[in-house]
Amino acid sequence: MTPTRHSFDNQPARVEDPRRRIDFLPQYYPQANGQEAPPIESVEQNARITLEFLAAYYDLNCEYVRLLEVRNAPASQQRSEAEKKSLQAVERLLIVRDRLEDQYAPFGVIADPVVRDGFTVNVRLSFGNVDAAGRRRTDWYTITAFVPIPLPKGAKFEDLPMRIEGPGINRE
Amino acid sequence: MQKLILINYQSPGDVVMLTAAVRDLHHCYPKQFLTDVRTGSPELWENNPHVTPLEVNDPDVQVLECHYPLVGCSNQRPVHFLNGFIEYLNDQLSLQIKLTRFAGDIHLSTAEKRAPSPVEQITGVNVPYWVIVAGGKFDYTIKWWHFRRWQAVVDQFRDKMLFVQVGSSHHYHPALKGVLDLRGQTSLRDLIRLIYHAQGVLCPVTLLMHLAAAIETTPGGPETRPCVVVAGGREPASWEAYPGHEFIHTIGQLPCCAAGGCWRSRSVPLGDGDEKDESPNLCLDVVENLPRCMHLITPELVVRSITPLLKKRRTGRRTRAACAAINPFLFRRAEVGAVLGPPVPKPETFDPLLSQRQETNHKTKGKHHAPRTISNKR
Repeated sequence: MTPTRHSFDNQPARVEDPRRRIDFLPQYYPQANGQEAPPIESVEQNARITLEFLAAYYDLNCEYVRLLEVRNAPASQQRSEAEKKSLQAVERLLIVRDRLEDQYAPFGVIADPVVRDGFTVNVRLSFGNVDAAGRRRTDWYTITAFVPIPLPKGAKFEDLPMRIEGPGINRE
Repeated sequence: MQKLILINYQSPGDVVMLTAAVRDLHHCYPKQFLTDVRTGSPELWENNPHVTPLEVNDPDVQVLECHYPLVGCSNQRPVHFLNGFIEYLNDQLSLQIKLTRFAGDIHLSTAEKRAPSPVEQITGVNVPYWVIVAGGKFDYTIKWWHFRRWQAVVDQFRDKMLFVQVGSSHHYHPALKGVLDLRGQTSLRDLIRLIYHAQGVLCPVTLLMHLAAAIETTPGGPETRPCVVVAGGREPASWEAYPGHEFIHTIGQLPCCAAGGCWRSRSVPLGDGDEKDESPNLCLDVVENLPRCMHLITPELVVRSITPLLKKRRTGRRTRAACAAINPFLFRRAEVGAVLGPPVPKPETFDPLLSQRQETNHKTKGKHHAPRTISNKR
């Protein structure tokens, strides 16, 4: 047996980006981690996954608008039917969202919606391959700190019994 | 007295194993050693009577970096993880340390034991609870079970038992609904206190299962703390399982773990540049991005493992007052569905467990058997 490989990199998003639609309503398109969404043409794995979740939540927001409109109408049999249909549409969209979550869970993807007044305004996403700062988890990085240490009065660098390195210090 | 500094910077679960080795070194060779440790989890050593501060540059001190090569024999020999460091110390120091307790060695101070549980501190109610881990680190994702399956187990015990979800904010721990959410909020010491008061633990193969065994139970409680481990086929049960634990595994059930644990790292590649993404470390049998061994373990099976443990502890249904007190603290996911009003008939039945049931039925009719639960009753 050989391991099954699953690579999503360098593939376009598998859902239609709602921003391509003629009737796109930007006010209902959520942010991603508090930022603007990645570009439509993104092919990088995490950007593509982000776009899929944003599309799902955009559709949910739009359907919720329709639901609110229906509920504003005077009570009638027709309104009840329309409300039922709208609620069923929301359920269908929630299923789409759930399937996305299921699909990407084994890759360590978490997409938590931030909801205001029933609308998803932001989606907090985290990924298995990068940390919260977007660095690949296996990448090396250094942390530097500037710690001023005053020399004893009258002392010179040359007199110190240790090797000192750093920015601005050019002696061995 | 021989002075020893033992070094290990592996994960906290590994360090819990080292606590057992230090305990048993002193038990088998009383007053012959002074030991200190350098590990990445100093909180695990708090209140430990076997730790004496020693200096690395003391010429009388022997510094020993500790490993557990025994794991390489875990599919061939009936040995437990607890024996790992003990055997290493025996080899390195020509000793004959024997395991004296089937658990690690974690100590709580009197003040820690007397303090109310972290759950009581938060909710103001002293209710029984289980601690749940529904994820893990990114290095060995093959240990993860799907979060909907953890959720299905939690849902099954709604109003019967409180689950407290824990996990590091740097790891993968998706939020579960209807639990007390303490993800990213517990230090290692908080976790120890949380488990001390817990009636049980539900987790994959992870630190929590080792703590569940290592941390003493509250006065009047059972000798061992119930723990249900969703294990699959990565590690042999003999290497990981503890007395009193329900260790749900598939060793011997699938070709890839027919004769022992597969010891592989990931179910799917994460693309983080880690060598664990490479072929020899990837799961051989993936179903819907989940290792088949984990896929075969159904929420129903886990529920069946927990239920008798609850009856044993006589953890009855929570009182209405307790429910009311706890409910405001339970995690609810904010989403459009939450403000929709009364439920309506769904356009199609969405059963997150349906596909796995069908898959399991299909497979079990063929070559696979149901996962096994090892109950190491004393």
